[in-house]
Amino acid sequence: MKILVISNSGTTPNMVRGAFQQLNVSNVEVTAVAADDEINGQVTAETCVLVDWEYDPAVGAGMVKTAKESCDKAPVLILSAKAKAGTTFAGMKAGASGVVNKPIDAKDLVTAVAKALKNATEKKPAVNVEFINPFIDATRNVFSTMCGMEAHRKKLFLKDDHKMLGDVSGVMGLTGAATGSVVVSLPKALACKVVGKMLGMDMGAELNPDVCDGVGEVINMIAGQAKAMLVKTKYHFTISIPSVVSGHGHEITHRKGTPNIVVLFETEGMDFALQVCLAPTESND
Amino acid sequence: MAKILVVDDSSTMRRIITNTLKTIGQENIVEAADGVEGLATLTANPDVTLVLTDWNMPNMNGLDFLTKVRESNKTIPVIMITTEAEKQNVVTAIKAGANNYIVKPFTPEVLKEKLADFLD
Ligand SMILES: [Mg+2]
Repeated sequence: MKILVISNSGTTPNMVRGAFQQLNVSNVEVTAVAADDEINGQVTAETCVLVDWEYDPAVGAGMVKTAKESCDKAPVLILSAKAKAGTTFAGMKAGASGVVNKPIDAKDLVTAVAKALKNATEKKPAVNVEFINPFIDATRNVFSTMCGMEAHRKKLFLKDDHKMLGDVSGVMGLTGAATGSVVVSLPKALACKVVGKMLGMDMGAELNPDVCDGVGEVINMIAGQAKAMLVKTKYHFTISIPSVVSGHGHEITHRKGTPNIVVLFETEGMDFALQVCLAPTESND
Repeated sequence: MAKILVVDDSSTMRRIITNTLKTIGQENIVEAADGVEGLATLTANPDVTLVLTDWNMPNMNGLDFLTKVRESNKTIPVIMITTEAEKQNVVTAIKAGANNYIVKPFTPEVLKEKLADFLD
């Protein structure tokens, strides 16, 4: 297993080495570079690149991009500390496939790297995404109608892990002819802004129960709109009551064995993610 | 003078609705977070003249709430404000006795327009 750490700190590569040693994983070769201009030739499809998210988000995103350019098949993960929560969207947009929290939990890191490398080399079945457009349209519609904000669709990718990209997520379980879930995950600042615009008032900068309630209502409206657009298809579902989860690196599980599609959006200079995991109920794929 | 009951499990949505009502001079508003609370609030406020209710709520949903209201009151206007946007939902609500149906997301203009017939 090859790992390339891009970090301007000397301790991060050692923490990575330590994590694998701690779990007695051998055959791991960890190399480290301080910046992306030094990675030439070191990235192959069997290399997992870890970008230490200590840089400015734009710089970090540039590093993700360079790694993907040198080898598109190589998986890139972001190592992000709590203080950087909500800024990692830029890295995901540039092509990273996941986030690992700092301080590094050995098991977390080793599992994420192994999974990322496995996914990168495994041949994947084609994913049917015919149901995703109603969710995208619904999201745009909710943002423009309720907040007067234009949400632009940026990137669409599959994500296995349960870690959410934002600081706060609204979740709606979907049942009926199709089963799954839809999640909207927002950085704190954007959540406050969105709810503030819905209510026509300043919500401050912290996640309070009012902001969380608003995020719940956003996913409620997105799910409801998408549901109406999917009527009479095999992806039709029913909705119930949304829930809201928050906190750095919070996790929300999705239906096992069903592709979990992430759509990144940008609005007013900030990013957020919509995550849809949905399949006909009787299917066991 | 109208007195309006707003029933929705989301405090955000209740505030959006009451904010809009206030812009058209409707200040006499009572709120409830689900159908059970809605029924209790109606009992405690027999002078309510208009009910706006969500559909998806815990404890008692808006459709069951509407049905309960109609058991004892055939005349009070009840308007559904819900994210359930399918034609079948509208038909179900109207058959249960709803007087109008507003789909979320909505603009304040749409809300005001649909309420105009029920406010003087
Ligand atoms: Mg509701």
